[in-house]
Amino acid sequence: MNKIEVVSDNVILNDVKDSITTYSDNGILIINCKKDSEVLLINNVYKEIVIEVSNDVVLNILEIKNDSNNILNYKYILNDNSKAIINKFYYLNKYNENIDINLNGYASDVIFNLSVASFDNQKYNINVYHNNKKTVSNIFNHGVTFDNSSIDFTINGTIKKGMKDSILNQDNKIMVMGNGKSVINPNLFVDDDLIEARHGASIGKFSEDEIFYLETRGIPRDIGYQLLMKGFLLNTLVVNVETLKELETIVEKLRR
Amino acid sequence: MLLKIENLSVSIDGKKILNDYNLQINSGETHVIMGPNGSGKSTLSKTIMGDNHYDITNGNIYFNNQKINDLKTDERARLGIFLAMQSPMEIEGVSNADFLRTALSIKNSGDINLYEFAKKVEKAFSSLNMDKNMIHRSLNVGFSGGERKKNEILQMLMLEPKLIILDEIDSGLDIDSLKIVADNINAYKNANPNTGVLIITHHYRLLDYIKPDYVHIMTCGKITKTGDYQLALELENHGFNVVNKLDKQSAIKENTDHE
Repeated sequence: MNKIEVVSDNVILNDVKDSITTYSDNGILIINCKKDSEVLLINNVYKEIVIEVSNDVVLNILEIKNDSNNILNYKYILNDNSKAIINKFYYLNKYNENIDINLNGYASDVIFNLSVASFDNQKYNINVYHNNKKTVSNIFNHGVTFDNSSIDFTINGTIKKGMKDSILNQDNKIMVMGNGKSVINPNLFVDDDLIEARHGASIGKFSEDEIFYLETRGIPRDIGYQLLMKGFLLNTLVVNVETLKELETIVEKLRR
Repeated sequence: MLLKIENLSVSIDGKKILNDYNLQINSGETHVIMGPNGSGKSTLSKTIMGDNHYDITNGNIYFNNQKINDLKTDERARLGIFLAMQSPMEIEGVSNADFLRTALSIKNSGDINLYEFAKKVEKAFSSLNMDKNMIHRSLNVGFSGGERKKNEILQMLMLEPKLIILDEIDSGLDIDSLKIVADNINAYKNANPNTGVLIITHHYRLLDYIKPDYVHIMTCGKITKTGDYQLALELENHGFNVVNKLDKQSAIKENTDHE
């Protein structure tokens, strides 16, 4: 598998030859994937990242971020029959991110999994554009807020007229561990009848009944919350076992 | 004395559910509580387990001679009390394996041998005739009613409690699954003869497989009659109202005879 890593501003090309090309200038990083690839981004400092997926290519992205001194813009461009599985795991303070997902190619398909733990105010604007027929987007945003922190998820799914047989699915959930007020705006802008579109949004606390069930098996309350948080934040991510273990360790250390 | 409940009164939202309730279970004994809907059976099980929705307004609960009124639910569980729930929770994202490993690791103060854990899980799955892949699935998510009940027994086998409370474990089980569940409880009890069992049920059929030492009828938050296996048969034939009524009539007759 072709794999590149972006750590801070350092782009590491692991002998990918011409499978992946990158270009960076003035705080903008462009990645073009021409064959099936993996991209790992850790605390990247680029102000804008553009990732394009060529025809018939599958791209798996994992991004981990706990350094939040900037505002980032992402643009994903998917061409014919391409697929992108985008996994983001953030545990951050104040942060804003703008994401544009352009499903330009016929039957292009994106799975977008954003899992965030928030310790301050965070805002995510996610725009999904179905610009071709038979395009599919599955967007899963899961957030946990601590103390007085908050998360604002605004998700705009757009299907233009004529983009028939497209499927748009949004699932947005925020679990509140403190007292902060969070917002979810799950918007659908649909201009064609022959499509499927679903959106869901919920903000709440972990269920006391679930915690009680865990307690009845001898699991103390704080460890019960850890288990629930691990499930909530990591269950949607498509990552290998080793990475999952690393992420579990991070979640276990998140303060309640 | 494994469990002693003494003059226990319990309310929820100001409404009294258990009223001056008394029950004693010795090591190795199997007790059955039967009663109509709303008589307080599940309240009793959850109060023993320390569910903080229920307020103890009077009385005490002792486990192995230790007063447990003020212990948290997880502390009670780690003492060896296990409640197999009437409606086991679905928890998305928490796998059966993670859940069991966490519970066992805490029970064993952080010490868990993964090889032994895997062997024990495999044996339990096999004896309950459950699909082994369920260990990797989210806790009870997408499980049928019967699978959830079997999963409760699986947890019981893994955690090895001293007191087992089975709250309507028979509901949702088909005939074959009921026998499998009962066989596993009996096998556990044979291997751990000091284990106490408290069965809460509406139906007689579970008692075809697990023979009780005592059967109690519970009505309006109190035990109104205690007997043996024959009492459960009477209930099956005549229903709660008739048995309670017969009991009252015989008490009146007894009093008249005395007079």
